[in-house]
Amino acid sequence: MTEPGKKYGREAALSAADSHHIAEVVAHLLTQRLEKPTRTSWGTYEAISIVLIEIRTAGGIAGAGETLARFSPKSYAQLIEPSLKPRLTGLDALGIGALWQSMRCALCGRAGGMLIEAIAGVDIALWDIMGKVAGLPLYRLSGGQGRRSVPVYAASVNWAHDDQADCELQGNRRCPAGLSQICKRHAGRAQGSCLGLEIDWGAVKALRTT
Amino acid sequence: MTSLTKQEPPEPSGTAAPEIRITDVIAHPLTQTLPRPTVTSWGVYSAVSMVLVEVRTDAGIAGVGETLARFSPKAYAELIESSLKPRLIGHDARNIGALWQSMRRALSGRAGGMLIEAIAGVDIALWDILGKAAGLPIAKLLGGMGRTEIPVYAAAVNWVDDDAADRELDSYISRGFTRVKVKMARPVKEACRRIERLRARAGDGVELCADANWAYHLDEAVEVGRALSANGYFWFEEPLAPENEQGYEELRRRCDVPLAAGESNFTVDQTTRLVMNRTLSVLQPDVARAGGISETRRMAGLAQNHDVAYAPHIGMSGIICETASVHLSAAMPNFQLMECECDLGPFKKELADLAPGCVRQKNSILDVPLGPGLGIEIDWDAVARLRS
Repeated sequence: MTEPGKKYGREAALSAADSHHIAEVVAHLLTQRLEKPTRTSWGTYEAISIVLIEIRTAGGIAGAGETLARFSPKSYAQLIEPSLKPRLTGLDALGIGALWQSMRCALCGRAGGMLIEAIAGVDIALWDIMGKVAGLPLYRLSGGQGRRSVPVYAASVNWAHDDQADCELQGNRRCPAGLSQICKRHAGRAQGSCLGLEIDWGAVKALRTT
Repeated sequence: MTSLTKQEPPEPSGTAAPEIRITDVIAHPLTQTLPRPTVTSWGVYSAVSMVLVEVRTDAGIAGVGETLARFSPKAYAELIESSLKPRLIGHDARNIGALWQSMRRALSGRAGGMLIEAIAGVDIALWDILGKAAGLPIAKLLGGMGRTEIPVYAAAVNWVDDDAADRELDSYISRGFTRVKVKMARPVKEACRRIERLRARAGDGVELCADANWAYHLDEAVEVGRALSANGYFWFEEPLAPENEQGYEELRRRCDVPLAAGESNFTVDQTTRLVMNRTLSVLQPDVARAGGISETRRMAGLAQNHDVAYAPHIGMSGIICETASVHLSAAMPNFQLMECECDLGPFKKELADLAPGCVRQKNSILDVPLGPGLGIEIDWDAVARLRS
């Protein structure tokens, strides 16, 4: 028998997570000019954009995510604001699966294209929040191999003439993996945050395109 | 020794046609409130949007197209004006294939989603220009079957209670429709009951088909599919989610009703598997989603090569989408039947000088417009009124 007034199941889970309800979703459009254009068979990229998604919970936890939005970033923002935000605001930030399903239904047609890129930014921000709530970095949360470091490769020697390609190859050997302009790595291992990054909001402001 | 120098083909004897250069591309985001909400297994739609794409040229010819943009229309309009327009301005409007390829590269990643819907609007406008430049309706320009009228079916009896469903069915029949689509949803038992009831009510002179808008899991779809074949429905549309291609193949083996799908596809590659293994009997691309007339024509052609019929989807789109679909229907050899959505919203009723198909049809037969291009004139006051 159920007790009157007592909450069960999903309802109970939701009320326990009240403070993790989503209070704010902001899409920041950022554009950067590349120091050196990236040349591929697809074309030459001189300036590219992203959308940085900022989500804040009622309890004051903030998460950040990134949407791939190389071009027309404003179009992504105009999708996120009217079509994704109402499917997030007021709901439990930790119910990521339910929010994902709801966001996917924002547009009909096969899954794909800009909608899924937009969802990606929100999803990453939600996992950032999850990590902060749990006090664990994402690699711990996912219950995986627990590697303390991972092998990487440098990207890339551009599709350029021989001299430049040689130079890039040498250069990349000397200075591997550069860090993003907007993120600073925590000193030491960032145990408190899922992504292990802290956003430099001053840099975000400087890169905003609108 | 034969010369290795490539021989240039001789110039055509007439004077070369002057170029028709694109001077402007304007994306108009429009929103309509439906007179009666559309109720499907996906949800209830009371207001939907679209983008009307206007392409202007230096020859004084302008074309119009439609982008499927049910929600967030400003996002589509922004994409068109910031990423597609620069790839169009200054180019010859008649090189549609070249412009399509260039627009597709506006974003990287697999083809699909909003970009292809955005391209659809531009592509239809370019075909409208090509038709006007040639003085021919698009139906003729496509060099096809030259049909002057096409069979259509009424869409749709919504997923509403019995009384309302009866009224909707009766109203389509009283308007002369001899083919009607019925929306299906959960629970399965209710769907099977609806299938039997409406079959009995419609009478011998009316053919029925069913549309589930992805309502079911495989086992549920098998059950509904059996009820449909037992009651002689002529197709079972979108029983499963479009990405579940293996599910469609399994369903095909386990029930007899012909399967129809395709309105969720953006490009030919998403159409290939279920057409080539003849899982689908009917392919239903929406010209305002599937890259416009160019890509939809390629899809219909693929279907033709595999004995799959072409049956355009219109849904809640506007008169431009509907009219472009009429032209394709008139031309494509494997065309079977076109959807005639009876929502009578402003996108169908107010945007152009042509009455919507559900008003023009007689006995489920619709005329093909004869004017050059799409053969319609846009009412720009209506565009201004509906701008969101």
